[in-house]
Amino acid sequence: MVRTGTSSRDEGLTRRDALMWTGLGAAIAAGLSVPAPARAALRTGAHIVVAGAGAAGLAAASRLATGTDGARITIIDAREVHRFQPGFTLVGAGVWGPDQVVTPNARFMPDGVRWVRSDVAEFDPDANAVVTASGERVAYDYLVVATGLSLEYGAIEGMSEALIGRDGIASIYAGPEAAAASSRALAEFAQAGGVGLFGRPTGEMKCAGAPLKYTFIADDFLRRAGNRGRAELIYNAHNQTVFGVPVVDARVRELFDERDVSVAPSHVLNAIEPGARRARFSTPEGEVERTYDFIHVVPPMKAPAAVRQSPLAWSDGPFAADGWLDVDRTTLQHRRFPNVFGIGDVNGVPKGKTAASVKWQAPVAVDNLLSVIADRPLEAAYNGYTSCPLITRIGRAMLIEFDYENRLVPSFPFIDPLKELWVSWAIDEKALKPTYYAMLRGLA
Amino acid sequence: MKDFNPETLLAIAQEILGVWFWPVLILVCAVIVLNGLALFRHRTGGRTARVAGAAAGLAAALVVLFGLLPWTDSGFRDLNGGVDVAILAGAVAAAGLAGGLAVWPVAALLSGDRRRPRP
Repeated sequence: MVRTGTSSRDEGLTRRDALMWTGLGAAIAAGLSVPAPARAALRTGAHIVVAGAGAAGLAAASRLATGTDGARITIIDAREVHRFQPGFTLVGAGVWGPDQVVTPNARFMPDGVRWVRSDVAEFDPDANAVVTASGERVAYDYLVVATGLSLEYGAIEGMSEALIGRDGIASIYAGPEAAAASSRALAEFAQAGGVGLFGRPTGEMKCAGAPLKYTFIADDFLRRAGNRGRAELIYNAHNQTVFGVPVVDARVRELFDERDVSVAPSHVLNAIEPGARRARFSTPEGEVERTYDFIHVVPPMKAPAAVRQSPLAWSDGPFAADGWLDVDRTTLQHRRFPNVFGIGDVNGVPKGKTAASVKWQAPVAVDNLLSVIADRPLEAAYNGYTSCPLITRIGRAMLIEFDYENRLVPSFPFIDPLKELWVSWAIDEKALKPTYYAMLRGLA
Repeated sequence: MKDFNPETLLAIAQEILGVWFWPVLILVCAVIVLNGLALFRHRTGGRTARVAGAAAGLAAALVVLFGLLPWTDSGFRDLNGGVDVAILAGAVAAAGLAGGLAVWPVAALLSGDRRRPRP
């Protein structure tokens, strides 16, 4: 039988079809974008104060805002601008501009949270209160300490932040503009050649891999400029190792050997003479002076004064000298004040001064804090997870992740953590910042 | 790097795409439903639609092949071994497939049914 005329199945897309199917697509899209139902919020009228609105403070406040029903949450920090610190190395490498690592803090401030635009000047845990720099006394029922740490450039004789970018002095830790100035200084060194000095301080520090990254980046700059043969690079290790995780230490030493980067063990920078381009190091054999054409300065680091000078700091042990927060390394609960928790760089724990550590510490601390409020056992545990995308040249990195026991704990089984890979670089350069921002909103 | 559940991945996608998140999500869903519609209505679109889809897929693949590395401030010299090559190849293949799937059903549906009528 010959089919005559046309049926609807012979027609192309009609306007009605287009509208219907587009609407269906939009409905599916809306459904996909709705987050999964969260765990029931804890009903409480508690007043929770978060000291600090950096990565740790905002992540905690976001989780507390969604994890509680009825709680009063106050966050205290004077900073209006949020700085994506993991990006400072990329700014220092000239890959990013300084504007790519700053964003208004208000963007991540959770709804319903009171933001006190001042810093905490004093902690009074015996009275369950903090005092701000503006003189406001804020009482709390529970406290999250997320103040970050203090960079002590003044502990290096002759050094100040104002010197960064001048006379061959670089330091990517001080901030976005300092990192950008460091990039310019590095570029000049790559053109001129000479002696480049790198290293790190003793004691705890944030992102212990960054001094190594900058050494590798300097090597790469010189090679791209065709001047590697005109430069001597020396990494001044603070002890007998270049990295605290033994297997990574060995791997970095291999790479340093391949790239002709020499290592001076147990050399700690204690003074600098910018005009003479001379640096002084403490060593077991006494003080050693070296001249340089370029030096990357990493300052000693401590807990902020308000923490150091409070009853919250460790009073003995390896974390006491620099006043780190006295918390249990697993639960992140303060060891003497059970209504106080710590997150991030301020914690006196063996590892975990990276943004990735905050990603894992924040849910643990918040869950355990809520357990305290609910009078439940503390069940969440932090295993020391730390991540360091160790840039070994522009375009390659090693995606190193480890725990308290120095075990490598890779997130992606197909990525060898000790192999220089483009994909590890791409994760660092493209995926880390959006993941970090999702963390600030309590969603990662 | 751990704990990439769907909610986390969605949040990360929102941060990556910013204001483009909703348009991209709707576009993806539209492509899915259009493909379903085309299959449901047995629309193949004939040679023209298949060529259009293949051309779009090829264009998308080439964009990724030559654009992904510069987008990450790197180059082919930074690829180091099987994992890097496999991931780049996977991205190129995914782009090709996505490009083809995005264009083919629209071309097929707009062209009408080109099957020969039954005798």
